[in-house]
Amino acid sequence: MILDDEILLSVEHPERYIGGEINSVVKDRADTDIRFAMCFPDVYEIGMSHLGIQILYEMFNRRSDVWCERVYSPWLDLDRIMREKDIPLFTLESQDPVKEFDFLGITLQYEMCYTNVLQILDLSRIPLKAADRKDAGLGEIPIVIGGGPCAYNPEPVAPFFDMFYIGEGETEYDELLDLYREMKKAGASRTEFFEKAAHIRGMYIPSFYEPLYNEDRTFKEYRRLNGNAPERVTKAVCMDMDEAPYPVKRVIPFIKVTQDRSVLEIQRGCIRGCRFCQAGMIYRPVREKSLDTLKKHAEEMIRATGDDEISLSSLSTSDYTRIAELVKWLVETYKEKYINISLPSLRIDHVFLEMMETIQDSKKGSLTFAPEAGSQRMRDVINKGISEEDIMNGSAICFEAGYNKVKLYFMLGLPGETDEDVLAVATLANDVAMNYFDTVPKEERKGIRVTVTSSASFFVPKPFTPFQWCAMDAPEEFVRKAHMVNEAMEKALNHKSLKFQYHESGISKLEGVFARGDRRTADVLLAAYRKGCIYDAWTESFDPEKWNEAFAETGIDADFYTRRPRSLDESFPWDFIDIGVTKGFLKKEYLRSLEAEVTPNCREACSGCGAAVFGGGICHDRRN
Amino acid sequence: MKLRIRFSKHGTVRFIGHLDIQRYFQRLNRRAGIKVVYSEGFSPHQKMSFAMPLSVGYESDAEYFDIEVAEALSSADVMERMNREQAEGIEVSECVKLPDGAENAMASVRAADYIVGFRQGNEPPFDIKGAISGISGPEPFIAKKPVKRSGRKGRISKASYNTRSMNDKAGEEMPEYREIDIRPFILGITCGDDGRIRMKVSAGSKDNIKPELVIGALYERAGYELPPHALMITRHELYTDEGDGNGKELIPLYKAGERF
Repeated sequence: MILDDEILLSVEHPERYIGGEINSVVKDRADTDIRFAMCFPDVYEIGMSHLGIQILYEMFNRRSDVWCERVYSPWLDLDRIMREKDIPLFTLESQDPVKEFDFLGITLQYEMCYTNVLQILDLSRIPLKAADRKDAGLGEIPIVIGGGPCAYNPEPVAPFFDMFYIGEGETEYDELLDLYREMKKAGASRTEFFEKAAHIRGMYIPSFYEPLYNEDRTFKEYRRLNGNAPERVTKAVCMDMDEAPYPVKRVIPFIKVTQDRSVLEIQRGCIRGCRFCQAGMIYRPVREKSLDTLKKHAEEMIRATGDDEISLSSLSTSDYTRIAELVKWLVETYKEKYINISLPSLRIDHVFLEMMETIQDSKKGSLTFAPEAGSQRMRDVINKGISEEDIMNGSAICFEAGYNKVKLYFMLGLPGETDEDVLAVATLANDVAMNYFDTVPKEERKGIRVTVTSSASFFVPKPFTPFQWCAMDAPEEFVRKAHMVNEAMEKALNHKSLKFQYHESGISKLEGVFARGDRRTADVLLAAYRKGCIYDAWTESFDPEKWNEAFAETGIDADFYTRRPRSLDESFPWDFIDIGVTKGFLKKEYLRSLEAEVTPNCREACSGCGAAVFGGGICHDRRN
Repeated sequence: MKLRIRFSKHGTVRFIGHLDIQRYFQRLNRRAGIKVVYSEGFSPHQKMSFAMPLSVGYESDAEYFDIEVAEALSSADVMERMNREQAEGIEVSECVKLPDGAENAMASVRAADYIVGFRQGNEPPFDIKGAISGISGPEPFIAKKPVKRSGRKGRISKASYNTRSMNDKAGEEMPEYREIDIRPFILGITCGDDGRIRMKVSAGSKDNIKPELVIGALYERAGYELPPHALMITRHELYTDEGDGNGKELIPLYKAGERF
């Protein structure tokens, strides 16, 4: 092991760094042509919980010529030690330095991990900027490749990556790895490899494009610097979910991680079209897995892991066509084996309750609703197809069934939000509590008070959503709104049953800058990292002062990115990516939001978003 | 049917903590198809109880847990099934069936064998072999046992212990210790020609003596301080006692049952 005992015994959770977990893959260095270091730039417990990386790990390691290993951000304590003692970052399986690998793949799941990307490169002793590695041969310095949802606007981190894989990993990696193996053998240069790779779908080589800006600082266009660079990059999308590789032998961490269970991905994409939701747009069209595939995966997973819980995964579990059938099968198969089934992202109605009853007859934990907004007007603006009646009926059903804890998720700072809409958050929470007292007669309450916990996050406009044109609230405005909700809750009739919590507003502001940032914002990241910013998503290490300094020193105006409403004809730095869903559709949706007009979901009617171009989705299947 | 399992833990898995090892074996039992009985009630869990936590960083030749199973073919079958599913460094080395009414693993621990080595560059700066022969007599051998603070500062259960703060820096939570005579709890100690120390000490819920405590006290006596992380410790065996009344004999935990 690269870390000696003294270090491992002095850091928190040494198990994060030792590898050797059940189902982790160890190969012979000599037998593999390509070594791939797969990184989630956050702490082990978070990174190990991520399904996407598990899929790629499984898929890569099926190839005999590739050895894919894992690497995560060393926690703050080890980070310090590694810098002091000059220890290079290493992968878990072989404990070899990352710098010796052919590829370093980094998944970008949220903007607040961007400084950790720099931490990873720095600790690996890889030059931070791609421009400073361009002369290295293939295999000399790893090819740094980014992916994940944030790669749909790669520009704020573009200078640090050699390339991005835009879209779903299942489809193009084989071709890319084959190409790499051949070109490395042939002694090709890095640039020659990128030139060929640029022709593979979903591949974006930032160094082949130079962003140009208008005088008013807005983004103008890309000048292509290399003839091989395509004008538009089309996302990779996996159309056969039943044939796609799936990690049925997931690596089982020794320590408890955030998602410490078998995860069964039931479908990709979402029929709903909530206007704030990026995932709902970039993962279109909706693709379901067959019941047979899911049963097979569940059986294989349980056999290979010994897990005591299976959790269904998708953007909206209830919308899976055969959900009731699937849940029934899972419960019947695994009840005797003491394996729990958990169903997140459910819509709460009678079907739900029947399912919950089959799952567990004794446990009455808490239930979660995501109304996202307090007023019906606001819910129509964001196209959250849920009415006050749905929430009241749903909660009544649950209260009758014996539940007495409800969680409500809200967003504050949604486009066009008035103080009235903000106050409606408190009203809705109070009404839900009231609903408990109306539904459950006093003698059945057993002295238990209902608890309605509302939590609010601050809305951040994301690329490829109908709200990509919108301004974001200033942090002070967020805090004002949060206080307003809090006060209203304290004054509410059922205030003793209400709890309210909200997220850090400073972090939301940064998220806002980098979500819709352009390549110029990379300077701020670098400056903040140089000042010592890492783990910005963690309250214990987030340092707004350093960030303010970084903005001031680089002359980047955060408000330009967050507070400015974009005009409808503005070009965005991410427009060159083709996600299927067209900018025209997003624009139409934005305009409808201004009128609080609801758009039907994919199952109700096709709204012509454009994603059918990939040859799938509900509308496409109906037509064929 | 109640089984007692002994397993070893060597190599990098020595950094896996006690609770994680428990979770590891719960998953392993399911993969291996061991038919463990589950508890009744709100959240059923495997009926499984570990003998004694092992500190992170220690290796072990003899970790123990008891499980209740609905059925099992034979000791060999259970061991074979479990070992097919192990992470590198963990291996089951015994499986015995306990007689009805046997005391559970945790409650029955009386003593433990440890083998203590010194990390390279951390060899004792004095004649430790001589120091060990120096404590062979019946006279008190004082060690400073760290005391976990529970609740209010400086609260100590037994007033007779001499409690002092090792460091009086204001505002900082510093460990406290009490001075105790550990002579009665050292059941045997030798230093081999390889420089490794083997000791048998009291263990269990009462009078549990950690090997660092003994070595630390030897250092103290010689006028030195034991540096942190200097020791490489392997737990070699856990013992219970047999018979009734006085003159009980120590036997390894697995000898409380029989192979089947």
